[in-house]
Amino acid sequence: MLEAIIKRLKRDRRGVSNVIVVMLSLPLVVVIVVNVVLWSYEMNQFDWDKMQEDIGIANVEHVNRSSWFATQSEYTVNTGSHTSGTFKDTQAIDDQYESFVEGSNWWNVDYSYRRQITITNNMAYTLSSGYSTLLTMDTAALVSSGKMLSNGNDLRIVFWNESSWVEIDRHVIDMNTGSTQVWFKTQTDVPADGSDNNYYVYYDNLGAVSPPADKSNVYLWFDDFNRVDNLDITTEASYSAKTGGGTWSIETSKLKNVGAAGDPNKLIITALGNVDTNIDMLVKINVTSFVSGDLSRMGLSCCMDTDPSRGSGYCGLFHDDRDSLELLNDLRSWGTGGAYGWSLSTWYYMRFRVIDPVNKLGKVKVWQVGTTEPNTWTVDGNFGGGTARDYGEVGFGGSRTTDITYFDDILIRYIADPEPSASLGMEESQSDNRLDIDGAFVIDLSTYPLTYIQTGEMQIRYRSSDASERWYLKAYNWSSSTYSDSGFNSTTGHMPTKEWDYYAVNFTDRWSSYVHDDGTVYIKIVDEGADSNQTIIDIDFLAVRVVINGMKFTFQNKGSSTSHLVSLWVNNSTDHLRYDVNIFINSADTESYIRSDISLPNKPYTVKVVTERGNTAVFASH
Amino acid sequence: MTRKAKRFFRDRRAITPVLSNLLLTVVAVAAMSIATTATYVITTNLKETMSERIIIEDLWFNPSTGNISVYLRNVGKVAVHVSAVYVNHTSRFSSPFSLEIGKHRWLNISYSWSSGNLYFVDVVTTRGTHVGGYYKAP
Repeated sequence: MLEAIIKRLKRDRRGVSNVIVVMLSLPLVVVIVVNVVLWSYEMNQFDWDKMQEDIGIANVEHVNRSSWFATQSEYTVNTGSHTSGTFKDTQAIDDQYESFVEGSNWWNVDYSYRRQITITNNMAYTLSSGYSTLLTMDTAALVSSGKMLSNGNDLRIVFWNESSWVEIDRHVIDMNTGSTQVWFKTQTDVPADGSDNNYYVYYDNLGAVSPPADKSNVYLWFDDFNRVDNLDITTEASYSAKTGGGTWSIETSKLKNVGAAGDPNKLIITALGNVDTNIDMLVKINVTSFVSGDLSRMGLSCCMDTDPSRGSGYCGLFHDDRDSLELLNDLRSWGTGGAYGWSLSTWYYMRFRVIDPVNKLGKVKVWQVGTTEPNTWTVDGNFGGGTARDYGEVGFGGSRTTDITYFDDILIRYIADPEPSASLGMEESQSDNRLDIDGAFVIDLSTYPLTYIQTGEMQIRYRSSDASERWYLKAYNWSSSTYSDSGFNSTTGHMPTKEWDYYAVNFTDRWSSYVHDDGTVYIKIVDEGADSNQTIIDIDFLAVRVVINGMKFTFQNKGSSTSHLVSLWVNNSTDHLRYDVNIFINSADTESYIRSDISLPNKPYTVKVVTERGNTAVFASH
Repeated sequence: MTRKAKRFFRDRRAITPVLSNLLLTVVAVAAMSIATTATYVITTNLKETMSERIIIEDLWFNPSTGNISVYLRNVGKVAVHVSAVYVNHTSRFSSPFSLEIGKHRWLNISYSWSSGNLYFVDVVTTRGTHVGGYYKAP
């Protein structure tokens, strides 16, 4: 058969041509048919899906509150302790709740009392960490009442760094008096015009010994020279000399200078390098041999540079005779002088400050050791003529002749203008119990944009074991960087029964101070103050929500496939308003959708929703 | 080799079949190209016409402007070009516009409508798709 067909084709050439034409045309026909048929099938499927879609609007209503936003992480316990449960527990879901018990975040149980110290930066710029701060307190009263050792060994300064306690060195002056000075260094920056209340003074520990009191850790520089005699102190790395032949030595735990020719004759504290801000220099000075005349001079110096030669600076000096205290701009000019009669072989305090290097202003005063420091400066003037100096090295000024001077207890600290203040809070007892916890709550700003929030609310459902203690809800004020209830509709707190109670507060029109730009709200639960009862607090629910003027739509998908809603219409007689939406609703699901930017219109109104496939659902309110 | 070439060019009988075959090939290729192009154009047009889906999301008899505003959405699988709008079978259109896949926009029709009257609004694309219906002015 096949052979017969082939033979016939060989004989009839026209048959071959027909076959070739058919073969070539066939792909074209197939392409057309397949393309059209398949695409037609796809569009039919599309239309079929659209027909199957069945979306409806079950309800439309006005909504004036968002849903509650609970914390998504465990509470931070600042004072007290966590006893059971987790932040996720709530009786409505798992019949559980979270419990905390009051306690005291106490540094050392050997100390019975403490007072909080608040350091206030009075400058319009940041007070840098490491500033020597003065706290003045009445230790005489504490000693007489038996709460503090008369030697001050149990007077301790402790810093809370938000996670642990750090005891810091302190320098106590005039212990057991009504105005004891306690110096210590700040541990962190204090913002401009801000404050830091993370410092505490602890006391009442009869067994306290050896408090940390290294003045090198309290001031920028301190040296009591209490070490073995050294004929040349410049062999120590911290000191170097610029001298024409005088010597600087350590003798019987004092710094000794024997003057000689040379100008300037300085001992520089090289360990400090260039000190680039205002400082206060205090030293004990005792002149045992004084030739008198212009070459006799001794005291303190700072702003030292290399012009005209290293060690040249501003000085506060005894000079010329034993009745003069003068300011000097080295190798340039004598400045303001004052009269102060002093005696040989007598210890005096000398305090020296350069207030304004550019305008060559300085101060110096002297008073005898054992007497009270005068409130006024002996010399408050300028450093005379010559070129002004900039900040530089600091140190001691020595005599240019054979005078012998002893120095001791050099103390240098930065000085801010105005200086920060340190104030004391109320006395707290170790037996006092408090609870202070806070948590982070995040408002969903994609649903409730800040623009449409009218205010915020927070609510707690809790139970207290002490019905006589008042509790407060506070929020972190992002403007003032502190927890506060300023502006709340209620700031009086809540005194619960021993049953489950609700307590809610409203942020009022101050809400924006408490809601961060990313929707975060920090909430603090705190009691009214320390007491002897160790109260247990059970928290069942704590959350935040916002007040809005919006609409809540309830969509129902009664179809067999997932619907994608893309348009929302709210129409009435005066407006047809369209809103983009992007909502997927599974088959047989009901979805609530809140829009805080849509207000309920006047009736009658119509709400329409359009799906991606082109179907429309309508809700009419008459 | 040279002898073979000379013989080839001397033999006139071979030229005619070669030329005729070449000519036939060119004609066949050209015919197929035209057929293929026509196929592509025809199927593309068919597909695009089949793919057009456009809906009226909202029709608003705007009392403040006195116009009819139609909100259109392209829910099909091809961009559409709205070329005409008819209100009560009368063309009321000023400027055609395109609507890409998934896009939507207002179409404002200048028409003095009267409250309570029934209007037949018909939006037409260049491919001939119609969308519209009867709407009663509020």
